[in-house]
Amino acid sequence: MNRRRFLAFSTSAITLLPLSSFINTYNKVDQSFLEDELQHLLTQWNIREKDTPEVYLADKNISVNSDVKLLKQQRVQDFKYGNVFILNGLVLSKTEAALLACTVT
Amino acid sequence: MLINGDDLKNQKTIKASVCILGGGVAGLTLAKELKESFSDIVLLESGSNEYTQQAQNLYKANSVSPYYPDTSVSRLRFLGGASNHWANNTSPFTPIDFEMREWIDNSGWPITFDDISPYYKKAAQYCGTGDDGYLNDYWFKLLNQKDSFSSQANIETMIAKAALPPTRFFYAYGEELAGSHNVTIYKNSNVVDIDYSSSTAKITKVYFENYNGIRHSVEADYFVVCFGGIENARMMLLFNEKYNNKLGNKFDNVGRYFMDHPMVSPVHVHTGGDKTLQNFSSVVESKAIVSFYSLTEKALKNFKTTNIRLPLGPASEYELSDGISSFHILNQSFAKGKLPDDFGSHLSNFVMDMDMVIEAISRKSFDTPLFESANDFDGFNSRIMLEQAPHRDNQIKLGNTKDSFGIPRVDIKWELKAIDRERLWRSLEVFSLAVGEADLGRVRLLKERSDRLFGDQMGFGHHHMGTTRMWVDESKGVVDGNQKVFGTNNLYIAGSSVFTTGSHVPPTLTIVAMTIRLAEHIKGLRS
Repeated sequence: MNRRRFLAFSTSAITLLPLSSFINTYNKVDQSFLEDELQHLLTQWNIREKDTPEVYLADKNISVNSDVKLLKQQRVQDFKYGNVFILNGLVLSKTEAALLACTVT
Repeated sequence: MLINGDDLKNQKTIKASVCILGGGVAGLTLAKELKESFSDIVLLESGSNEYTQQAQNLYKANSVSPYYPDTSVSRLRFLGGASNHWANNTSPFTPIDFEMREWIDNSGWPITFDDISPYYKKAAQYCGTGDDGYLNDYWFKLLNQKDSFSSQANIETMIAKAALPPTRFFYAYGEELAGSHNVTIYKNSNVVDIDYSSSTAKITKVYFENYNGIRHSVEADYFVVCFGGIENARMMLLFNEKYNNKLGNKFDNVGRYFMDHPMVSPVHVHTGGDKTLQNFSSVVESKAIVSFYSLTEKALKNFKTTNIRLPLGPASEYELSDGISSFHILNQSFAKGKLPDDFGSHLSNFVMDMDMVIEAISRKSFDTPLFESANDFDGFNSRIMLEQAPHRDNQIKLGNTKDSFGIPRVDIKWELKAIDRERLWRSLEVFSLAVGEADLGRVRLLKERSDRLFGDQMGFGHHHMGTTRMWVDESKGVVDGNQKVFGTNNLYIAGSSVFTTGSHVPPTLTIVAMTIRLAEHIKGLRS
C-alpha cells in the first residue's frame, strides 16, 4: 500500500462500507503503512479538535457499526455545510475523518 | 486594398474617416464592422501577411518579471495577430464579471453584462463557433451528457467552444477587407507618433514608418488603437509622454492593472475509479464543444472569492503521483543547501510513493517504464485557469532601451499576489465540498507544492488585459464605457486592454463582442 492506495481506499472503500469491515476488503493492505497514516490522522485530530473522535461521533449518534446509509447521509451533510477535516490537503468529511481516527488502537 | 508600406516612396498624408491602428482580432473586426458605413477606412499594421522576424523583434521587452513568459514569443506581430496561433477557445463572460464586488478591489465595469450580451452571437460567428450559444442545458441535452452538479448550489458546468480548425482572422476576413474599395490596409507600417490638439481634444494625425525609414501620416475623424493588451499600453504611454498625460493618463493609469490568466495544476481528484466527473469533449459541425467546472455566482458572493476555469481530465497513477513532485522539490532545495517549506510532507510523499519515483527515474533516464499500474486510471487532475484581480502595481512601463523605430521597449512587472493564491485555494475548497456533497470522490489540494505551482510550473493564457481599463471616470480608468480615451474626443481603444476585470475564461469572444459594440457606437457618432 502506498499513499495513492490509501487515498483511493479512504475515498471509496470506507465511504461505502461499514467501517468495521473496511480493512478486510483490501487483501493487499499493508497494515503497518495504514496504521502510520491513521496515526497521523489521529494526531492531527487531537491537535485541532476539542473532542476525541469517539466523543465527536457519539454526539452524532454514529459509531463504527452504524448503517452505511446513515454514514453516507452524514457525510453528504458534512460537505454541504463545510464540516470538513483536511489532512495533507485531502478534504475529508469530518465524520469519515473521525471514523478513520477511531480505528487507531 | 492591401498596400505594402515598404513600397511607399515619398512622404504621404493619407486622409480617412476612421484610422485603425493594428491589424489583429480587434482591428480586423472593427474594419469589417465599419466598412459598410464609412467611405474610407485605413488600417495600419506593423507586420506583413505572414510572420517576419523584423516585425517580431519589435515585441522584445526590456525586462520581464520572473516566471512571466517572453512576450516576443507569446504574441504575433502580423496581420491577424494572436489569432494566428490561438486555440480558438471561446466562452462568454458572466454577469458578475462586470459587477463591483466589494471583496475585489478595483472591480466594477462602467457597463454591464447586458450591454455586451447582445453582441456575443455575432462575435461567436466571427470566431467560427457558430450561433448556437453556450448554454449548458442546450449542450447537455444535445450531446446526451449528464451534469454532475445539476443540483449543486456552488459549482456549475460551463461550456467552451472552439472552431476546428481555429479561425485565423486575416485568413478568414482579409480577402474581403483587402477587396473592399473603401478599406485600405497598410502592412509593414509602424505607428510611431501622433499629433493631438489641446483646443479640440482631438487626435489630428498619426504617423507611421515603413522598414525603409520613410515616414507617412494619416489624418482621420476617428482613431482606434488596436495594438493588443501590452502594446496598447506601450503606445499610449509613448503618446502621453509627448502630451503630458492628457490622453487618459491624468491619474497615471495607463499600463497599470495588468492582468493575465495564470494556469496551474493545484488539485487531484480521487474517485476510486469512477469517471462520472470527467468533463466531456465532443465535435459538432467543425466545432469542439468542451465542458469545464466553475463556481456559481452565488458561491463567488458567499465565499468572496474569484472564479476558476476547472476542466477535469483523467490521470494515471503516474500523473497523480505526489512522490515525483516532492522528489523534484526536495532535490531543488537540497541543491540550494536548504530544506523546502513543508519538508515533512515532501519527505512523506517521497517515501510513501517510492514506486512512482522509481518509475519516473526509469522513464527519464532509461526511457523504460517499469510498473504497468503506472498507466492505470487513478483519478483526475486539472490545468486550472484562474481569474486574477486587477492590482494597480502590476504594470507595463516604458523601459530604457528602444526598438529599431526608436520606440521604448516595455518593462513588464507582473506577479501573482498572495490574495490571488488565497482565493484560488478558497475556490478549490468550494469545489472540494461540492465533489464530496455529490459523493463523487475526494479532492486533494496540493498546497505543499505551492513554490513550484506558482513558480516554474505556472503557465499562462497569454491574455493581456486591463492596461487601458474602463472606468466611470479617469480616477481609475483610461477609457469610458464607450471605450473613448478620457481627455479626447476622437480616440478610442479596442481589445482586452480595456477590460476592468479579467474573468476566468479566455478573452477573445468578449474582445470581438466589445469591438462590434464599439463599431455601433462609432457609426452612431457619424450621424
